[in-house]
Amino acid sequence: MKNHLNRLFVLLPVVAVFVIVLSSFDTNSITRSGPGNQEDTFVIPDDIQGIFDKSCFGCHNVDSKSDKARKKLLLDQLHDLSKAKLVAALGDIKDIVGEGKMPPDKFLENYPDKALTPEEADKLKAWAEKTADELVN
Amino acid sequence: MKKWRNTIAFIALIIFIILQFIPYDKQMNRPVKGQDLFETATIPEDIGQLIKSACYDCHSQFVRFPWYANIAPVSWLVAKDIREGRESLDFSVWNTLPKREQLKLLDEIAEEVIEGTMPIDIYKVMHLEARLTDEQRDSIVSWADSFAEDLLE
Repeated sequence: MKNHLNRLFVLLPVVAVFVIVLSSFDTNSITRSGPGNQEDTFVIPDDIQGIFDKSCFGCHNVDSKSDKARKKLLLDQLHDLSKAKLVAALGDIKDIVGEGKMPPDKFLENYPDKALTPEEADKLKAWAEKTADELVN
Repeated sequence: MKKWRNTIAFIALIIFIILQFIPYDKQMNRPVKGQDLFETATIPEDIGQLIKSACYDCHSQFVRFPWYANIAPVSWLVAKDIREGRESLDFSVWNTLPKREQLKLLDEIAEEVIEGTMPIDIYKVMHLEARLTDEQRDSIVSWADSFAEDLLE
């Protein structure tokens, strides 16, 4: 009985220290403080966000059913990209929008209202190019 | 029967000879000093060899033309691959590209190499050195990613 009590006295402080150390971890700050986080420097203006929401976000988000779209670009995860990958993603947006490839024709057959107007496409390209240049300079 | 066979072979030969005189958009090497990737960037030797042997025959101004690249219809296919390759990425004008474009291309290199879409299958048929192992693919991807980070420093 005495042995058991002795063991308990030794174990209790160890367990207490373990619990205190674990509770001091803020898991949220771990996931958000990596080298890829651009939260402080990268802001999408409202007008651009509006265009994304209308024509792009339906497929390019983490919960999208389209594997291809998810693999290519996740608009809701841009903040988590490294600066180099973010610049690359902006370059892709500029080029693909410039080539008129997005949204795809097949998608627009069912959702013609999601098409980018020429003004929206120009605005998106200009923003992507300007933002990429600002990030690299 | 033999007469027919000879006639068909003769016609095929005539067609083959005629093909050689059809003009096509032959791609020449026109390197400009100081613009190639290897002229300013320090590329690790093993990666440099991989890039030169697996990519440079379509994506540069230092294309090595094998003997069959001058014989139609193969010459047409080679010319098309080089033209399209240079349009999407020409390592020999690397130093003229804006940094954001370089970063985009490095991202595409990593993506296409890891997915196995590059080098293209038809090139690998005649170029054994372009059949990259998984380890070689991984090393190119790691290099592309770290080189991109270095460009931002």
